[in-house]
Amino acid sequence: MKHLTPEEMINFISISELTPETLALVSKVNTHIRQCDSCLTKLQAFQFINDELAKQTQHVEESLLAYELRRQSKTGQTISLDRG
Amino acid sequence: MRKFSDEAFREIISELFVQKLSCSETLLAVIDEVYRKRIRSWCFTHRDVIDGGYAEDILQVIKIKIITNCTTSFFMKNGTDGGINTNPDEFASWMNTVVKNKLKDILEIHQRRNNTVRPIGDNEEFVDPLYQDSAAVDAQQEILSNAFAVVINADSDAHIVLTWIASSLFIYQYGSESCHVAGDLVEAFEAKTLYEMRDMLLRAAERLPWLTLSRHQLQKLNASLQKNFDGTRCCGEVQYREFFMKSGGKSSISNWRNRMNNLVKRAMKS
Repeated sequence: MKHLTPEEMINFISISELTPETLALVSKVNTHIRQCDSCLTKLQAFQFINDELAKQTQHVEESLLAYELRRQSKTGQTISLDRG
Repeated sequence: MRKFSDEAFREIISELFVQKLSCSETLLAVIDEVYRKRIRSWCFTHRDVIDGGYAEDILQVIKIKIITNCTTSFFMKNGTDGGINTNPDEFASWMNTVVKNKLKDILEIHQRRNNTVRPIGDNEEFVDPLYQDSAAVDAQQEILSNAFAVVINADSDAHIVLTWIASSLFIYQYGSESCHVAGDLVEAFEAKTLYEMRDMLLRAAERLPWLTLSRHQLQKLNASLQKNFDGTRCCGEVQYREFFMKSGGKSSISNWRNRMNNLVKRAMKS
């Protein structure tokens, strides 16, 4: 069985939007870890570290999430209306 | 209380662990069903800190958190030999905890960003957003929604209807003081045509659950904007300030707001 690569795991825990590509990665990872204890354990460790880092980062600076939300809000939603 | 069925939970398990290729289709649909409305209400409750337009982004963040953590942190938390947790109530509880923590994080981030409220300390009580009185929020939105329907359905001139919508937006969304809203409106719109004003307001209204125009209401507003103003222009082409009475912009706006508010009050009483 081919294990997940560290890059795949990092990409998995760093997903920031739902696209066909990221959903395919979610599917691949979930399919694999349901039968591979080694990768499941590594991924749990990655997620734990990622969450802990995120907690610390939140107290130091604005998180990427806030930045991303603000960026999305700046692009704004537009609505086109007929003048009739 | 669990907000999804046993059948939906079985389908989630099947998609994640039985099918040849794991997928999260039903899980994403369940998250939509259970949390979309709650998150919109939560954004409305915290509208002084978080723009309602973030609701969909927050929902997406939560979906990602759940589908990337459900296997590792819930279903197979104890490893491949530990068996899959198939208790739907525990899963509902786990999802609620994930959402609660994520919303708490988001609120803290926005509070720091806005620099309006200090971050929530570890020892402070945090009001669980999922178990607050969402019925009260829904009731408030329903009242606003009904008031808006009264205004838009009234046969009033377009500039008066737009004034009421703009004042409501400024007060409920942007935190204007009621006594200052007339001045805010003069500043924001006096040089805009009513068409421009309408477009700006509708863009902002997209973010508010209670301020949604139906096709019929939009047609009614457009018909009002198309009415003749001075023989050469329709009302939509005229600048907002040209509708002001001799008493001035602020006084005119206060007058129009009062007329509309009285109309709403009468409709609510009947």
